[in-house]
Amino acid sequence: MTNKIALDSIYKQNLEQDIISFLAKKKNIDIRKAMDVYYNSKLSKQISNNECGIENLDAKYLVEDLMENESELFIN
Amino acid sequence: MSEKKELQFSIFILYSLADAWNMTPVSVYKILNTTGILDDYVIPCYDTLHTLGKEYLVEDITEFVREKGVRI
Repeated sequence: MTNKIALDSIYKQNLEQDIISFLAKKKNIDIRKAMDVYYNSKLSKQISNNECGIENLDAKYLVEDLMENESELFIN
Repeated sequence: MSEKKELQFSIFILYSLADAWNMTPVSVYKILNTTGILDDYVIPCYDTLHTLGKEYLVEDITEFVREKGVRI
């Protein structure tokens, strides 16, 4: 069971890295800015809380979803 | 931050601290961001910090956060 918890953590770390990298590329912004956008989003909380198995979706899909549903994060 | 290795390391730090502090990585990010520890310490000192062990890093950053007046 401990291994499953550790694996879940590594899986989420990789997912968040993919989301932030793809977001930076897609919006043509610095990785640090993309990191700030991501960690201030509802998406990051949903992934953190394992809401509706959202963490199992593809990073590129999640980025598209973030840009569509949380566009207010990109102002400034 | 311009390189992916720094991003990977920063996320590793968030998750390691979240585990130690019994918080979510999102809450840890907010603490490290508002105290400036992420931008003034974790990212610029990546070259040195990434050679250190997880336990030492957690202890070191926890102490730093407390020095900034945050209760952990």
